[in-house]
This record gives sequence, C-alpha cells and structure tokens, in this order.
Amino acid sequence: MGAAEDTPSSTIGASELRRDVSVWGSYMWGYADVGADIYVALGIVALAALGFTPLAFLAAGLVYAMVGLCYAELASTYPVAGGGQYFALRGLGDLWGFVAGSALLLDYTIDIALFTVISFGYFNFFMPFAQTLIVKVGPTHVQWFWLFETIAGIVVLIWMNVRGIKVSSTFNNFLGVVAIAGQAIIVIAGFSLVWDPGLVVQNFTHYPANLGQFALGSSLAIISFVGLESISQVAQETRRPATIIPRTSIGLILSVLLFAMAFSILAAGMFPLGRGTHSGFYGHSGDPVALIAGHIPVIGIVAAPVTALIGGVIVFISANSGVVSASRLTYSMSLFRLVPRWFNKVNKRYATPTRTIIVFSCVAIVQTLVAFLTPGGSGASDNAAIELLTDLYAFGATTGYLIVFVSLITLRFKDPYTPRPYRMPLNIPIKVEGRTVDFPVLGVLGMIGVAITLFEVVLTHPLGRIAGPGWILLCGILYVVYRRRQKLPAVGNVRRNWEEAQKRVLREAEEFESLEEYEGVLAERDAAGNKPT
Amino acid sequence: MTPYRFTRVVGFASLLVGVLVLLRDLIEVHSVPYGIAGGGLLAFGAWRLQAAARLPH
Repeated sequence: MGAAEDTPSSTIGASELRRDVSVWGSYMWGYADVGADIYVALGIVALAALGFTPLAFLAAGLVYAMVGLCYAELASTYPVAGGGQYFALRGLGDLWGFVAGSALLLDYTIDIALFTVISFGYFNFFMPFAQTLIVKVGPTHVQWFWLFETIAGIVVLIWMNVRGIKVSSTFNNFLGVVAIAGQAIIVIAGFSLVWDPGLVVQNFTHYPANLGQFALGSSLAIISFVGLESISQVAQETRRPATIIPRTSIGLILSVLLFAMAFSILAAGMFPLGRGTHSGFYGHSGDPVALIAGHIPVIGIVAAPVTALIGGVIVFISANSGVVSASRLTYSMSLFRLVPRWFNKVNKRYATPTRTIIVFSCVAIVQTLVAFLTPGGSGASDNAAIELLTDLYAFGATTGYLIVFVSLITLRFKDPYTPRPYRMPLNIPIKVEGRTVDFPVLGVLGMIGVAITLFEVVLTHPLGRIAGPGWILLCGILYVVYRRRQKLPAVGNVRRNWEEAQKRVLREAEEFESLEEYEGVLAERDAAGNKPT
Repeated sequence: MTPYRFTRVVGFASLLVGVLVLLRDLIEVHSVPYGIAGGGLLAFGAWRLQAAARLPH
C-alpha cells in the first residue's frame, strides 16, 4: 500500500459536524453566498458590457447553469466537506486537487476582500461624502476612508470567527427571505412602473459592445453566480444529501439566474449604458442595486435606503462565508496533506481554527491594500480596486470550475461504481473495458463553456492574468516544498482507500440505499475478478 | 402560510401588476411586447386564482 496509511479512510468524511442542515437551510446557505453576488456584479458588468449587458449575463448564466448541475452531481455523490478540491483529488490526483484548492482559496480570500469593499459601498449610501475622501499616493487616488472601512470590516470578521460568533441560521434564513422579497419587489415595481423597452433597444443599438468589451463583460458576469461551491462545502452537514443537494442546487440555479436576468434587463430599460460617464452606473459600481431602487417612482424614496441596508448586510454576510469556507477548505486540504497540518490547530479557548482564520483574512487585507493602491485599471470600471478584485475572483472561480468539470468526466470512468443519486442530463452510454459508462455530453459542453470564460478572463483582464496565475504558482512552489519535506511525492499521489472512505461517508450520511447499492456493485465487480490491485 | 393563501396572494399580485403594466403601456410606453407581458400577467393571475379555488381551505 506504500503510503496508504497517510490518510486512513476512517478520517475521510469523519467529522464532528452534525448532519443538521435541511432543504431550506441548504438553499439559504447557498443563497446567502450566491444571492449577494448580483449586488456586487451588476454595476461592474454594466460598465464593461454596455448595451449588451443582459446578453453578457445570459452567456455567463448558461455556463453557471452547467456548473451548478455538475456540482449537484458531484456533491450528492461525494457529500464531504472540501467541495471542488475533494472532487479534483478523487478524479485527478493530489496535484490537481491542490491546484483546484488553491484556486478556490484565492476565491475565498478575494470573497472576503471584495464583498467587504462592496458591503461598505452600500453602507456608504448613507454617507455620500465617504467616496470623495481621497488622498493621492504616487499615481493612485486612494479612497482612504473606504479602504479604512473595509479593513475595519475584515478585522470585525476575524474577531467574530476567532471568537466563534456564528451568524445564526435563523438570522441567515430571515435575511435571505427579506433579500428575496426585497429583490422581487424591486424587480416587479421596476418593470411595472419605470422600465422602458424602448430604452433597452436604444442601449442595444446605440451602445453595442465590441467583442473585447463583451468578453470582458461576460467574464465579469460569471462573478454574479459564484458561490454554488458553498452547498458542497456544507454537504457534510446536510441531512440526506443525496436527495436534498440536487433539489437545492437546481432551485438555486433557477432563482439566481432569474434575478440576474431580471436585474440586467431592468437596468437596460432604466439607464443609458454607454461608456464611462455615459453610463447610468458610472460612480455606482459599489451600490448598483440601490441605484435601481432609488429610481423607481413612488417606492424609490423608501426602497433605496432599505435596499442599501439589506445589500450591505447580505454582502457582509457573504464576506463572512468566505472566512468560513476558507477554514473548511483548508481543513480538508490538510487532511489529505496538501497543506501543513499546522493550519488545523484549534484554539483551546474558543474551539475555532484560529490560525486559518487569521492567515487567510490577513491575505484578504493585503489583497485589499494592493487593490486600493492599484492605479488606473482598464477603464472598464470606474474603480480600479474593485476591478482588480473582480478580475481575481473571476480567475479563481473559472480555474476551479474548469478542474471540477474535468474531474466529473474523469470520475465517470475512474469511479463508475459509486451510486450517483443525480446525474447531469444528456449522457451517452459507451462501453469501456466491458462495462457501460455514461459519457456526460453536458459536462463536456460545460467544460468548454468554462474554458472559454477562463480564456476571456486571461485575454481581457490585464491585472487578473498576471496576479491569478501568480497566486497559483506561488502556492504550487509552497506545495512542492512542503511535500518534499514530508517525503511525499510532489507530483504523484498518496495512495488512499477511496472505497472504504466512500462506504463510511454514505453510512454517516445515512444513505443506506446508496450504500447497499454500492456494496452490491463492488461485490459483483470482485466476483468477476476485476478487483483493482 | 397555507398553499391556498399563498396561491391567492400570487394570483392577486399578478392581476395587480398586469393591470399596472397595461395602464402604463396605454398611457406611456406604447410597446406591443410590453402590452403582451401585461396580458400574460393577467392570464397568469387568473390561472393561479382558479388553482387556489381547487385547493382545500
């Protein structure tokens, strides 16, 4: 077995986390993460994709739907904390598991930074002077007050998480319902009271995006859909994950897609979407939904401040989910010895993973400082800080998703025995070494879609194409050094007994039907003399 | 909230929004697709109210 004892199957899926998350809880967990994204993305995308903004959201939305279905299959098949990193580890091995993990870690740290910045963008709706407090540092005009607010916000997140103060699920659910109701009211009131279809046509014909602008816009629009990963991160705490995860994933895909399309079409029918100052969103990349709410007659005077408040809180909670997800992911990675176990040390006093929380939140503070000190940008946004952070967010997400799609396809061949309670639609049965494998056509289409989006990110984001791969490379060097020190293969894999681990996971999830089916299929395989050595 | 009440709320809300959309189309927007959307909302609202009538209450 070589180094098989390195990660005993008994530790994979073993957790002190209770399976206590219901359908509604799982949906709300995802919504708290993904639902906040439109509050962040709308203004940035509108400034990049101009009159083609709804089309940019549609293109990104189609890719997102396929990513969502891919995650629904993998998270219900392997209901273990770790998400994309775990799927890549199972499908492609240690190195790719680490690359996926580091891309997702980049996303979570950016999530902390970007969402705290935008959160205070919404809170600054009540302090319009905040964005005018600027100091010149070299070639950069630093919005020092906004920067100070953001760093203070991240420090609050560190304090909350180190002390173990959780946003209660009741509060989370309440806020989710308020956010959904608020968004629905804005959309319905906007379409019925102020939306002008003539302006949509005018934006489309007068301010068309060229190919580069559309590529930039659609690659930025993908950030309005990032966060599905959180459903798989919480899979280990979800009751009956095989039944619940596909339902909540599909519900989340539909609702988030509906709101993203509704807001983008509404925006195109309310404001001119020209370049720079010719856009209604110029100067409002920090609070786009509040801008829309404020322009709705009758209810606008109340809706704008209420939306700014809800937007600020929900986006801040989404930033908090970045801290939580980074801890879960690091825990999973250290379990498989992809990162040092130093990160897993739990604070004796507060019983929280203090080291992970502080290290990755400090990374987020550094990212915020770098972003605010970055001069210029491509001009697609009116704010270079937000532009750098969204560039990196899009890079991390698309890199992680691409690896997850490749893992999905590989796992269909490598692990055809694990029962899949949900499969991505559109499969072609093919014979491989005497057994039938469902080849995922939609999985391949999704992989191509994400690859195109990643290509767009690299092509059109001047800052992201350097900083994103730079992060992965830096993490890769640290990984190689760590593995060598531990006398583990740097490029190869540590052997693990995945079959025993899967049985244990299914047993702990109380998925007894799946467990019985799995054991039956393995017994058939062994009887046929096909047991792997 | 019971399914009956929820379906009725959705039905009445759709009728209300449908009327608003049609009125706005008549006075201000003058767009055929917008008018069709208003008509669609009225039809949807009526359908949900019919469905509510069949639910236990």
